[in-house]
Amino acid sequence: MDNNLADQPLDATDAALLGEVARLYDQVDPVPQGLIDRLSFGLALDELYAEVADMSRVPVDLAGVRGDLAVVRTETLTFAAESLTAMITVTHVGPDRVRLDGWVAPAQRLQVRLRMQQGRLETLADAAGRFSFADLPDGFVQLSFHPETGGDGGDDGGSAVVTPSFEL
Amino acid sequence: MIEARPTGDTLVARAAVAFADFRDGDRAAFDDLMKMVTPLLWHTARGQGVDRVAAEDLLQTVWLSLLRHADSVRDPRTVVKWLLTTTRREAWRVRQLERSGHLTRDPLDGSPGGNGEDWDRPTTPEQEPEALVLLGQRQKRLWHHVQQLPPRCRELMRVIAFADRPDYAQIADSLGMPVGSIGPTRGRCLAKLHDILDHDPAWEA
Repeated sequence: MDNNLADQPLDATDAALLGEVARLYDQVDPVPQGLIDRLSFGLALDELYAEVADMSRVPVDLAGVRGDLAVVRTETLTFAAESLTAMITVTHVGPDRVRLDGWVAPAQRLQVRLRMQQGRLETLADAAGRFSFADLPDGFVQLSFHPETGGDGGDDGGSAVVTPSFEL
Repeated sequence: MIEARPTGDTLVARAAVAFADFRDGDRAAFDDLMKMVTPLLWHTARGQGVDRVAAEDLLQTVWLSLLRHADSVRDPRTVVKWLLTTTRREAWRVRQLERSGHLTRDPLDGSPGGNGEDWDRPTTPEQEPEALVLLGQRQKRLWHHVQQLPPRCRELMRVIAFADRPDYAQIADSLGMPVGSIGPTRGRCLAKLHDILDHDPAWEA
């Protein structure tokens, strides 16, 4: 390869070529429609948090529900943070209705908040770390886990864990 | 407070202004910042071989982390660097998980990336996108030529293509590329792409 080519200053041909590369990737692998809205939703949370959990999707065939696919559609997500991990299953229970079951490890009583586009729900994880939200509408949601305050919403931003938003 | 305000009209400069505004209490500026830089981060994550679904999740983690750790970015002019670095680190983590079998495997290329030591590794092309069939002849040719670049060069070209020229050097540095990879000179990767195109008799610049 001609090394001089690499040592020359960037010029108009480079700008044109990079422009073509950008248009190419815009076509073959565009930023997904709706990503910006989803990011906006996830960032619009009005509470303090200490950690952002990493989210992973467990493939359906590993979640052991293959035989039930015709009946219910289930999706499993895991969340990992320094202070806790959580796993949830999302079960489609009717047209546009879902149920969310989860558990937290290490098992502990925690306040679990679910932020939806339509509002917010709260529940408590029991001593075994289990929690659920029945009969939710579909759409984007975001979970956060808070130490049990024993009262109303004294927010301990010092140790709350928030998840990325995901679609039910 | 008297503070050197970032100026200039490049992505990095505009991002710095938005981030400075956010830190001065303008919450809406964070959304502006997010909209501005997300395409660059998208192509960074995808260029690292993270599948589309995982890349969407990953970008949320990145932006939530910035919101959480905004104070740790001392100089607003480094916010794009912080975002690119965090995106690459998260992409690396996702790929590690994939390797250990916890996730479905749908990588673009499986390149290790990140350390700049695999310049001359045999090239593994990106997975052929479905949208390829919709491309014109010229774009198809360009795709196949870009696939001949070493993975690190391909990553760089892909991200740089969405940036402004004065930012090239900083972005290349943020992507862990050696000094001089691109900007102010053409650098090795872009020169290589020109070279490949020059050897295609059907390609007209």
